[in-house]
Amino acid sequence: MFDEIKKILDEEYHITGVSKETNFRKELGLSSFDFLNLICIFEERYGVELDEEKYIHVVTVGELCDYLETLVGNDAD
Amino acid sequence: MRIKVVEGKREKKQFLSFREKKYKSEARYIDNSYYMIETIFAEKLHFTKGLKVMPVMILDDGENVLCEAIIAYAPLLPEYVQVCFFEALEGCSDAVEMLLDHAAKLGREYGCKRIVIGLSGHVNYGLGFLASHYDKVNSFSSPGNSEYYNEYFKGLGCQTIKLNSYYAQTLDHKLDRYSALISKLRRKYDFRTFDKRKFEYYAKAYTDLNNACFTEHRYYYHRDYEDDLEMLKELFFFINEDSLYFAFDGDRPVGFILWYPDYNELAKPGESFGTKHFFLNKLKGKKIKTVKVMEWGVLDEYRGCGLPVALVDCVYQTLSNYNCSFMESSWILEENEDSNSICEMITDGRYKQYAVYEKEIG
Repeated sequence: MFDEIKKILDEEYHITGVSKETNFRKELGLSSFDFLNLICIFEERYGVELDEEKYIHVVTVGELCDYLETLVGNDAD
Repeated sequence: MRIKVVEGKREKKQFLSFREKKYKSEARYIDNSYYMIETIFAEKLHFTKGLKVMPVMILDDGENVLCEAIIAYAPLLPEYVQVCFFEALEGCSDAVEMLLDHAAKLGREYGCKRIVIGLSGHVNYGLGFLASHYDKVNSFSSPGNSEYYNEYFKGLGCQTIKLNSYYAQTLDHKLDRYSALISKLRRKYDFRTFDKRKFEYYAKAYTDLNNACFTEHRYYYHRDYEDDLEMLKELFFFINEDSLYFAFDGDRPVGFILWYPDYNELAKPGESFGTKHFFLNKLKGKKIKTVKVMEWGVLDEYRGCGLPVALVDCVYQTLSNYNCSFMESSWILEENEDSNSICEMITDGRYKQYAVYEKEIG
């Protein structure tokens, strides 16, 4: 999932060199709309709907990675 | 120098003539308030029935107007006495001070705590003085004034309330960056234009959204259905149904955006905008390059989902029918962090600055 996030960040925003600790807003400078757009891209790719109550607390790439893995895993079950 | 209260036909004519001559002689800006003042004087507006309206002029010893304004008190905005539609000649700070003192005196009689200069009765009719880009012609319904207006109020110890506007190139805009978000919002919500066949229904939706979205904003006070019905009927004389979009969640209107072409491109600097300009446009088909986004509002519980982006996208999609290539927003209070932050995300940057002035009158 981490690689998938890296790939999307590169494709959509030409952002490279991220780690799991990278902060979306402070380090990558993503606006709240950029982040919402990123969420929508994942929703489209995996055919799931992410829970606003949960993704609203996501700050780093690693946190999004963990959340998506949980969700896609649960969805796959 | 003396104060003259504008009451009779002759004084009203003198009041209007002062601003008309001033705009004409400067030939820098277009007067978008002339018609509004005429209708206020004619006591035709439903909106002004709820206001106490007191137009005044300050005259020199030769009975020439030095400055003028309509002083207004709105019971629904009881803290403030308003100085509306202010105009003045240069080098008349004593006259301006006399006008403000008079407004303060009237304000105290109504129990007001502060004077606000630059509010046109209600924010929906205009707010602020131009405070930058003095060399640019004002866009439709935005103020155009010389820099010395601002100097008058600063010099008289008024507090400045800053307003921002934003611009964007509409043919190559930032919204492409949010295409996945916009697609989702378009699936989830229904975006509809105003429907003149259901005029009252949509006008009510507009009023309800205004009251729900802006109640906490500085200077905003409750609008009733009649106020907006009157304003929108006037407006839809000029604009098309696609100038007012609504976002619906099921049957519930949850957001809106109002925009229109910058009709000031049809007039020449120095003129007072009127219906003749609009008809000239119809006849000659002059192309308007700028689009003016007047206001948008989204209910609190829908703000986090990015709905404003989809509303602005509705406007940009519509623009392909209008040949507009430049967007200018109306004013946004600098203290409104949410709206400024949204504008930073979806526009190319800040554009003109405006200012409102306040002073305690204790």
